Parts: sequence; structure tokens; C-alpha cells
Amino acid sequence: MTNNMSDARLRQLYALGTGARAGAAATATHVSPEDILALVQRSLPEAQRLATLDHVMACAECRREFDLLRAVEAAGGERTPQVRQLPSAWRRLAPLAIAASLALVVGTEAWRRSTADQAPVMRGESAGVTVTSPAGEVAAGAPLTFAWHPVPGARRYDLEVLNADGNLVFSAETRDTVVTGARPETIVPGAEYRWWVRAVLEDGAQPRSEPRSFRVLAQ
Amino acid sequence: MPQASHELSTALESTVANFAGMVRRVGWRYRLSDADVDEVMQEVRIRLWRARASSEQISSSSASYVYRTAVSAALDIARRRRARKAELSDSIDDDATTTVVAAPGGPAEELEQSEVARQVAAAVDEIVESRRPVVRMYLAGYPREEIAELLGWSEAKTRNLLYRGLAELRARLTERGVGWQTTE
Repeated sequence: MTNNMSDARLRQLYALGTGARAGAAATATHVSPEDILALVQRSLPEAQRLATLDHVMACAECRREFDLLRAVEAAGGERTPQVRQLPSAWRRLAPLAIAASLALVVGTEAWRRSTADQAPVMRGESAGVTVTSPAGEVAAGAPLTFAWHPVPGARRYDLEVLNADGNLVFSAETRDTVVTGARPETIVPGAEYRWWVRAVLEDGAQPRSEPRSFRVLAQ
Repeated sequence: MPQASHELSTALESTVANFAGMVRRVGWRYRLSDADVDEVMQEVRIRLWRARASSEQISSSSASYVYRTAVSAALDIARRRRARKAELSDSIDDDATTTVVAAPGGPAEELEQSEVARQVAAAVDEIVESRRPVVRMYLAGYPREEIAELLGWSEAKTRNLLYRGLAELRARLTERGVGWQTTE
């Protein structure tokens, strides 16, 4: 007997489970902002660092402050790994990805499940991830197609869609560079979303795309 | 706007704009809302205005000075939020907000998904302490290299603890009858 729940599905459920706890956490003891800063600046001893991180990652309020302080810290220290992009590689492989986007039409359910099937992984020649669509405004009734450029050495791709509050509303794993189909019910008209793609490479590296935003037009 | 004030404003904007751009780029990657970034950068502007008397001083503010100002501003914003939250919870005991990812499907599916999600959250709580924060961070969507960087661990150590942690999580979920299937 093996538990084959995918990482993407676990993430979705974890977001739902920790979100439901937010009310209870509001009355719990939080980590101080100073300790969260010490965590992002890596100045805590390891045991305290782990304990602090454990709370922060389980607490929506502390996590928001962690993200804020970490963004400022990373911007100041310029420590954030940059995602490399190589548009010329995409130009050579564009026909392949377009063919894939035409060939693949799956429903919402198929999106939700892991697509760890036997299909070949779409691979390009650069080490970064460049997302292409959707961007800007999307018609409410139209199917939603997420597409990005192939990455060399990719074992699979993880797609995440976040709402304006930064909460995960949809995720998918795929070996393709396109996820398309009916719009999930968690992506509603009149709201703005950001999405990105993480490539999981054979060597364990996980380059990510820059986030891309889109808005589903009100019906 | 008087000329001197205009020059001051231009210098300030120019100094802050570069850093704000960096924070925004990084912030998006960390799922930070634009409102949070705007709040910090507005606070940084005010502090630079107060601390630097002239446009010359503002325009020559080093990146590290702006960075230190931004860290201090973000810390103060976090403290103020805590204080506001404490006041609110004192006055309204049962007004806690709940953020829930909506479950697709009808009420029955939503209820089932909520129960599974509760089981996942509970199973994560039971993971061995040394692995649990890594698993939490990974499930929250942070990439492995950022987890390794934050904890000061090697890629191999992070990968090892994460894989063990996820395996433990799946085993605990199986014990709870969640997400397993019989192999043929």
C-alpha cells in the first residue's frame, strides 16, 4: 500500500488546513517581529531557528511578516537567486510547445491531479522558466490556458496560482509546458491573480519563473 | 511646489525607486501583496525625508542606508500590526478572520476536502521536529534552495530532511486513511 498523494495536492490541502486554523491562531502566542527578523537574517542558533520557523510557517499572521521582512532583507542583500532566461531557445522550440497546447485539453479535475504520467517532459535549452500566458485581462467565460517555455533537464513543472492576498487557489504538476481547460471554481471573475511556474530539474534544482499577473473580467 | 522642495522630492524618489523595485520583485516571489510593499516604501520615504536634510544628502544615500531604513520600517510596521491586532482581539473576541481556499464542487465535496485538509495539517504537526519546519516551508510553496539558504544548510542536507519529512507525512496520512491507494 503506497500513499501517492502528489506534492501539489499536499500543498493545496495544507494551505486549506492552515487557513482554517487562522482564527484559532489569532489568539495564540506569536513570534515577535524581532525574532522573525533574526530568523531571516540567520542570526538565531539552529534550535531556536527551527522552532521559530516551525511556528512562522504554521501561522498566517507571522508568515505575512516573515515574507515582508524576508523580501526587504533579500532586496538589500541581493541574495535572491535570479532566474535566467534565454528567449532564443524558446524561439527554436515554439512550434513544439504550440503543438502541445493544441493537443492537450483537460478538465479541471485533470488539472488538480498530478500528471506524473509517462509522457516525455517538455525541455528547452535554458536553465530558467519564462511564462507566456495568461497575462493582462482574461474573459470570464473563456478557457484558461497557462503556458511557459520549456526548461532543459526538467523532470516536471509545478504551477501555482495565488490570489491578491497571496493565498494558493490552484496548483498543478505536469510534464508538459501547458495546462489548459475549464477555469477552476477557485479562480473567480473580477479578481486579480498571480501565477508562476517552478521547474523541478533532474539535478534537484528548482528554478522559478517571475510571477505573472492576470485578471478575470467580471461577467 | 517650490524648486528646492521639487528637487528634494525628485532625489528622494530616485533614491527610493531602485530599492522599491528590488523589494517588489523579491516580494512577488515571496507572495507579498503590493499593499505591503507600498506601506514599507512609503515609510522609508518619510524616514529619509526626516533623516536627510537636503536633496544632495538624499540622492547620495547609499543602498545599504536605504536597506537599513527599510528593515527598520518593516519591523515597525509588523509591531504596529501586532498592536492593532491585540486591540481588535480585546474588543471583538469572536471576530477572528479565517482564510480558506475554496473547494471546488458542492457542499459535500467542500466538507470532505476541509476534513482531509484538517487531517493534513494535523499530520504535519506530528512530523519529527528536525524535519517539520522544512516540510512546512516546502508545503507553503518555498523552493528548496530558499529553504536551504534560510537554514544555512547544504542542498543535500535540506533535500534529505525534506524527503524524509514528506515520506513521514505520507505514512502518517496513510495511517489516518488519507490519500492512499492499493498497488496492483
